[in-house]
Amino acid sequence: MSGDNHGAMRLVDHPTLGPRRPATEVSFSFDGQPIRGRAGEPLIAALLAAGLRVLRTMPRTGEPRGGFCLVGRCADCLVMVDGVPNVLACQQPVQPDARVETQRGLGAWDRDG
Amino acid sequence: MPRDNAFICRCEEVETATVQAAIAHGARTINDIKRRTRAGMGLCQGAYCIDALSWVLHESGGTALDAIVPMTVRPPLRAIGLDALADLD
Amino acid sequence: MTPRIAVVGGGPAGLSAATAAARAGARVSLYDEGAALGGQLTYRIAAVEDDGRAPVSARHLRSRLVEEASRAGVDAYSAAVVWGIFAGNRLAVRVDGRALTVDADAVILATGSLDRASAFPGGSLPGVFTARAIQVLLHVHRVRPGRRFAVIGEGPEAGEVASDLLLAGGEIVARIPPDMPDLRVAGEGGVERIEAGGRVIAVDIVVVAAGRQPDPALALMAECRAGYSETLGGFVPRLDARMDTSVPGLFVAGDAAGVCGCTTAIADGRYAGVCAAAAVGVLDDAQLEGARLRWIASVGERVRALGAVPDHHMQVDRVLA
Repeated sequence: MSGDNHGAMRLVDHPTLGPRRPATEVSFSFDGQPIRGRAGEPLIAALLAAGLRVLRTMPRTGEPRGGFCLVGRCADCLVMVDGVPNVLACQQPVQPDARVETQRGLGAWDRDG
Repeated sequence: MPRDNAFICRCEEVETATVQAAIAHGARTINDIKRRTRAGMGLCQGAYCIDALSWVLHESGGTALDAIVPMTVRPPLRAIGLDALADLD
Repeated sequence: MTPRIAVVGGGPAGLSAATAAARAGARVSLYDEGAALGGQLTYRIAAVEDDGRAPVSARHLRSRLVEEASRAGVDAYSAAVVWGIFAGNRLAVRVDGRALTVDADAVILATGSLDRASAFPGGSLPGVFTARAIQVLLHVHRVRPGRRFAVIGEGPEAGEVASDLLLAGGEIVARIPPDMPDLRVAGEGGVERIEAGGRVIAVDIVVVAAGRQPDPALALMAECRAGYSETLGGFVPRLDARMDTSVPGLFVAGDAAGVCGCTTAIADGRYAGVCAAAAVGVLDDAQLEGARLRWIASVGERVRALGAVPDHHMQVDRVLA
């Protein structure tokens, strides 16, 4: 079994890349769950490292999506951030205390957020 | 709920079978398919389906590959936000 | 007033084009949408061919090309999204939250390529990623998104990403040909297993490594004549012998003109830079002819694939379609 986080792991070191760059820790939440990110990385990196793979559910079928291209083109990784929908998790850097949520369908502006 | 979908267009959740049906009902070009099924209308502007659409058109519709006219591409190429457009003169 | 050339895309072709055009005497600006210059060289770690020299690591090649562009005086912008091309090859760019329009005397599009997607049941489940996505995750973000990987694909991209995954401590549980008839990925809320050829294999991540396709979207927006080419990987603009599209002053080089290796992308880019420089008047015909012959000599097959030079003779008249 790969475990609860699907066998995901942060690569602190690498045979040819060497050790990763140091970075300050950035804490945010995803659907209420506290997540530890690293400054400069996109949301999806922190979420995948934590084993969280469902980022949105689709408007027509309700099916889950969690990212596909990682280069900002495919729209599978759209999430809500602080009440704002349609944020690309593969591009948006982690921000301290951001309230990130699964986007349901096309998303809706959270005017009370 | 798990389903057996093969989406030819991920963005608009269009199944391959839907595109094949459109071709059976007369779609002859990529733009025809786009208009009838929404394939290619999503955020990626067809980037991840244009190749598969071309092959389905070729194989189901009999059009030679090199005779297929590419999808019309309109600005903006990326979701850049209305404020970027407002900035321009 | 020094003629101005704009290059879109800061990968191997774009950097080479910008450097060549700047060395020829044009004022060159380059716009790349990535956080750092280098295009595919920012996320690949494999050894890549370096312009006819011994293979080097992608990272080393990237440093060299970026350094050369900088020394040649290219004005390079990162995180710069060229989102539109309009009449007169005017570019609409978004950089640093600002909108710019760029009016250059010539534009070189070096926008590279994308992964080809593949449609199969379960292909859109969370945990299915392109080969490039995996490389970005492993090498740029330093996250391995699972432990057990299935790689769909047979070409060099599939081999490269499989090696990358092994180096990162991943396990390749299946290598699957792209046209496998009964291929299905399944799981509750995400990838859990892959079924193919009557076998069911537990897996965390499925990698779609079905080859690459050109990304000449801006050329299509400009309504260049274009067509589908199987050898070149998809839709490409029709080019003449001087890397010119059917739109005057608009050139295309690298993967965007047809998927090719790094050496070819660099050669293409350099030649396109020289062609653009000649088109804006900073280079004379003799210099251009020398560059053309060098390009043909270094990447002959590519030239034939592009249809830029007829097989049977080397004398080519300039044709604007």
